Amino acid sequence: MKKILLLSFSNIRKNKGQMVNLLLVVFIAGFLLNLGLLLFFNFGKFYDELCRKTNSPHAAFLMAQTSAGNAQNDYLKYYPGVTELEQQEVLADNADIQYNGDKMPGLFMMVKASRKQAMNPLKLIGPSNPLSDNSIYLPYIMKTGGKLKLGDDFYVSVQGKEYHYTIAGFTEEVYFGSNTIQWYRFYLSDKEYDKLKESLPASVCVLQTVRMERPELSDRLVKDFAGEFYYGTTAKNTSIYHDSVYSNVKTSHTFLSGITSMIFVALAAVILLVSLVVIRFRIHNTLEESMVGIGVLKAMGYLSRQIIASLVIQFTGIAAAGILLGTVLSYVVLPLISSLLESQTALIWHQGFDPVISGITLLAILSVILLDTVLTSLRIRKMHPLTALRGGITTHNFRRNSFALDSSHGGLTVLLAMKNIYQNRKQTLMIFAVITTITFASASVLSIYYNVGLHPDTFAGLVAGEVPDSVFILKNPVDAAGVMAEIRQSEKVDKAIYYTFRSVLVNGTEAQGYVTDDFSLIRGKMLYKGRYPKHDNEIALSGVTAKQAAKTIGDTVSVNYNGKNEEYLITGLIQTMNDNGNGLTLTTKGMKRLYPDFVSEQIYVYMKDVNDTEEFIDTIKLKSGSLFSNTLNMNKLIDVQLGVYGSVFAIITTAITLITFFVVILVLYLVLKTSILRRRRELGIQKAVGFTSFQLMNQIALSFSPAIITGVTAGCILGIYCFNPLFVALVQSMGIMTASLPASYAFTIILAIGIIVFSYLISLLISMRIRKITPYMLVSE
Amino acid sequence: MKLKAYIITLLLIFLFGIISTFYISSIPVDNELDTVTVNDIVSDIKSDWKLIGNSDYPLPGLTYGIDYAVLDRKGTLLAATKRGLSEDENSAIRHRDTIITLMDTDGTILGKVLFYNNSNKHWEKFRCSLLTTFLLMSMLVIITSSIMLFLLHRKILKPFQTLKNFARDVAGGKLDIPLPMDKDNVFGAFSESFDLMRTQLATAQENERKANISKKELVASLSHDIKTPVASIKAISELMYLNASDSKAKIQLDTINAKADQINLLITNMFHATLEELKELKVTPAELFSHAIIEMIQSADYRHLTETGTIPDCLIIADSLRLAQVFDNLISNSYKYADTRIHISFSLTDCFIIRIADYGPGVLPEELPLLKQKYYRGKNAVNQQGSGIGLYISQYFMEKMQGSLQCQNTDSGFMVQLTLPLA
Amino acid sequence: MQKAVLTTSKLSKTFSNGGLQQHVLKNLDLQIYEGDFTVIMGSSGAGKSTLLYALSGMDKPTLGEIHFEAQEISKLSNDKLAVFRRKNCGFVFQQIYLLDTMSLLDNVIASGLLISKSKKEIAARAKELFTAVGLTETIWRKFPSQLSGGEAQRAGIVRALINNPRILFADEPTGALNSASGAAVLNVMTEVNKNGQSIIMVTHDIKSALRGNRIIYLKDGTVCGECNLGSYKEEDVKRNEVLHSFLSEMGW
Repeated sequence: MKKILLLSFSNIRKNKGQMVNLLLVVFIAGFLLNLGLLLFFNFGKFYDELCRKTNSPHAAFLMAQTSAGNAQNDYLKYYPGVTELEQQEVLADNADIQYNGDKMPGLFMMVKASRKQAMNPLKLIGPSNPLSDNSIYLPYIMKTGGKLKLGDDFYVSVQGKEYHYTIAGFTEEVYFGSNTIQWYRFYLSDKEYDKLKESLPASVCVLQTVRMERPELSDRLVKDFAGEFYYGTTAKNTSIYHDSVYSNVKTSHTFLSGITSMIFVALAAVILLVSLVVIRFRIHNTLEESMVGIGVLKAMGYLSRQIIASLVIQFTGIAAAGILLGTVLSYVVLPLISSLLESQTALIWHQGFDPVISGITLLAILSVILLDTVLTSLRIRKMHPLTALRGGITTHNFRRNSFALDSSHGGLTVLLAMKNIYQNRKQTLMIFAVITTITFASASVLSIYYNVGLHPDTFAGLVAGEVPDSVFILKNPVDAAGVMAEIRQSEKVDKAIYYTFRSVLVNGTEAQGYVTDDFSLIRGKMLYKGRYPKHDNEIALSGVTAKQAAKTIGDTVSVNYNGKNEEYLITGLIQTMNDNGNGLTLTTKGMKRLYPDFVSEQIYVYMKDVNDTEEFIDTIKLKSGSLFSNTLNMNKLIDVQLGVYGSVFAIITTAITLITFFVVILVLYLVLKTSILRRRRELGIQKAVGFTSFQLMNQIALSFSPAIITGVTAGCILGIYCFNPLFVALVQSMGIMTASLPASYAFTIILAIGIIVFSYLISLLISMRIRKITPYMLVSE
Repeated sequence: MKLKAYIITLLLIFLFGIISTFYISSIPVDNELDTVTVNDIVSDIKSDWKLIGNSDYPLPGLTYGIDYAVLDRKGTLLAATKRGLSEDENSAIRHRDTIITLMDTDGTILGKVLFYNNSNKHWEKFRCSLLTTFLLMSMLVIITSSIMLFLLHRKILKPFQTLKNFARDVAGGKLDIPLPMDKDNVFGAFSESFDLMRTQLATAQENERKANISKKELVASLSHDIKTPVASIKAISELMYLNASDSKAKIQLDTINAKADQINLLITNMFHATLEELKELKVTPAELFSHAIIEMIQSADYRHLTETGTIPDCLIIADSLRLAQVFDNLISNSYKYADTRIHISFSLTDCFIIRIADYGPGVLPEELPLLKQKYYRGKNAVNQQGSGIGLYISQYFMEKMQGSLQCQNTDSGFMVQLTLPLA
Repeated sequence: MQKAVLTTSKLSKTFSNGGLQQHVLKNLDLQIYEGDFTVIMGSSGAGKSTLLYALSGMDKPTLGEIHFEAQEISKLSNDKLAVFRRKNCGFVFQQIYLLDTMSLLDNVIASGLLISKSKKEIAARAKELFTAVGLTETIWRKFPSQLSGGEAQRAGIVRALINNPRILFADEPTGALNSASGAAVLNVMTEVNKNGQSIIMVTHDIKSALRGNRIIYLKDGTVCGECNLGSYKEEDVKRNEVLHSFLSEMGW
């Protein structure tokens, strides 16, 4: 063992630069993998743990006090699996809530801070002031995502009236505090609560929160409860009803960390691949360079397996060191990532050392590298000591003189570079492979950033379904026809349609129904198979719903609403990220079969010019503002909501682009250095003949260009054509089946040119060491 | 090397074939009526019921490519996508068409739609796709096999052809045409050795020619040199004959004259004969692995009567062709005269010794010294074919290889002992 | 009668080169005696190095047997040969072949660790040997690339001797050196031989050959002749004369 270690260390010492190189590559892989795995496995666990600690609800039901009675309470109390039930009076209603410098529609819920609360009791995070008159405690999401600060003014606008408060602190809100569900809990002083209660008598509600034996049971409970008390009567019951389920809330908190973790893991895989290629290359070179050394060792009586062991120890040792360092760094960086994600997760996450995850990281990378090293170095066994001593020269050499200088056309530097490429085919292939994969990775991430961060329309469509320019929600559906006529009169309007949601049951599963007259008029791309419904007996289901109902296009499915059952023929499949991916589309006529009195209360307006939206909304509001319960400027809303993702993705993208360039440097350094070392004699001769250093540098840099250019091109093409499937793979669990996000050609081209120019410059820079080679070396060697 | 690529290509084609076969057979035959389409058409007809039958009303759903006919409540044809379909309910049933009854929202029957059963067309399509795939596959197979044949031709058969032509040229004595080496070197080392052989053959031939010329010159000059004194002897004896008066002396001189003629003739004959033999039986000894002898014995021993002892590994000096001839001779002699098992043993001292012994009757002791003479045939050879030259030639070969050949009777039979020098 | 360490019987080595066979060694029957400084000479291509590497188990003979005392080594597996070499053979190469990734001391210790488990012992022995060949501590701390040829070759000898090999094999040890360093190296070898170390050396340098006590002359793969210089003293002028006449007789 000692002798093997001796060999390993002496080898490492000799190739310090290249070993550091390898260490860095493995370091990055280990860093990313550990980070990704921690996020992927532990964030969800952390959420569960936090829920358990704060005794947070597993399901919540909100009903107008007028409609709440003992029946509901008893139903929940005796439902199998329910362990704890809490009932309290709250003030709740749909409102516009100040968020990120703008107003956002949401469900607010005002609670008396003084009241004892068993589930997720009031707990303040960070500095706070005691509650006084006219001050309020907000959920933590309002700080991270809503960009509000202690002492700021905060307002909600309910039924056209604004209520202003001063922020006195932020609460740790595990259940009611995520910006995708938009159901927020605020705490007020007793006096302020009573004041608000007086001004909003219709908003007095009952909140029922439930804990169960296992959180997963809550899905069933909510479905049964809604079926029992809600769907039978909703159409007639205009009062408030809301429910939410643990799994939805959890997803809303962990969604971003999930995507981020998957990007990290995927990138780690790419880097790991690169490191494997690099290791193979290194070992081949080591074998070639130390052929004579191996011969000497064999002559001295070393066994083949001892020499292999020395190589294996050398590489796995370096790899292990790299992974360990990467793992350590990932723990250092994790709080940063976690605070970055806070704007969406709204939770403060402290991750300690996780031996299992880090062990997996270490073992996974190490075993792959070990295997690679052993497989590559096996050919030592076949080497005969004497052949090795003679430098592996075999007697017959039929190698062709490719690109003969006398008969080929082209400049001397170019031709010599071509010769180079031909003689180093394997190396060229390696550069090509590495450049392709990492260009692909960063081009894809750039395109994702472009779609999420910069031009979120298509992505918003994926998330939200249909996205018009503005939405008008009427207080009374009866006024709809008049408003519609008025809107259509405006010259600025391209088109306006009725578009409404209704929760219905499909085969006993709750699903959001999207209802409009004619689906050919909508802008979004929800449909991914078949066609939208056209006749009153047709329906399009979301993929998730169809799967749950075990139906497909051409089958009929039974839909329950308002206590009535109707059969519909499935004509298409749609995708939606809302409601766990459960959704469906019906024509207005189709909806009327379930509920003949159905009238749409929402009007979606599409403008000819997006910039006119704000002005248009104001005009309409001026004329008939009293008719609307809410008007929305969707573009602004999306900017506000997705801005969070944009900033997160911007940072991830920057990081990944940096890593890409870093890997390019590492690989080029490795290849160039070995190439120059190996050809030192040749370069010395060329210098002796009269080549200038710059010519030789150019020649070397040029010889890598074809591999880099083709690699970059291939990577970009892959990036443009394959990033949609890649993106779908990332978000499939959220109900997205297909995506046709436009790739960012500009970004991709900039990236391509960037990598090419950058790598050429780097090659020139690294090959500067050619200048140190002198013809004199030939004599002394 | 290349073989791997061939095999992989073949396997890929094979796999491709299997997969596409399975794929095609697994594609469900699309002979179902698309319910979504039907619903679309039926709903449209229902909503436009009043217009059906108007000549300027285009029937809905024509783009789907489904043929149908619309009947009213009484069963009379209102409209159809084309003529020649089932136009009443009876023929529709016979044709297994799909019949849908149109009902108003309040349940009154409006009429019927007959969807034409076109599963035949689907079968046709399926058959067609099967045919195309099969043809494509066959094309693929033919193309790949032609490519492979072509490559085979270019890489193996053509080099063999060149090799054959080359061998013919060499056989025909044209030793100055080099063998072109193929670029991909399937036969690299092989053809190189071949070409090396050619050049060696050429030099050998050249040397031989030179040696022959010099020998001939030597013989010519020798005979000239000898003939001159003999001619002088003859001339003087003739002169003396003319001058002699004594008849006894005349007779003696006549004898001298005649003997001189005889000498002249003998010298000429002798040199010619040696010359001929030397030209025919050239022996070129070279280093040889001792175990190569085993192969020689095996190829000579076509009746498998020999048993060989262990052969000590060493390098010997021998001409493998001539040594094989020696074994041929000895073993066939043994077949002829003994017809028993043959035991061959080897030993290694200063030289390499091969003992070939059979269990036959041997030869008469008085014949033993004569055996190796030219054209000598033993008494037991009367009934056997042969010329009596085998042992003589074998002896000659062995001596040329710096070895020897000895015959002796043993207790059990007859034995020949060969010795060969070590390298 | 001296004791034979290595005995070959009918040793032959054939190289196949593109279908052509080249018989480099032919039926060699040779004995190498314990304690001898055996010198193998011969013209280029006579098979000197081939013989050396066959004797040392670096290469396997095509035919024939090699006995190391009672052990048949020509049929051993590559791994077994490696073990055999580390115990019994020390090598000195013309190109020296020190591993340039290690210092001289490490070079020697890397070899020594193959046999001994104790690093201390080896280091001690290595230092002893370094001193014996005239290399000071400052030198044995250096890397091969920082040395002169003579110093490197002496370190090579130390490496060869570290495991107390039965035989020291030297393949033209002075071939790449100038005459002064060559003499130093040869002095070391003579000294080692006097202490009972068997040496087999291939050379075509007469000055080197003079150090041996038994000269074997190879020609075309066979032993052409043998000359014993053991009876003459080192300084004896006759030694030189005898060798010269032997070599001219051999056709040197």
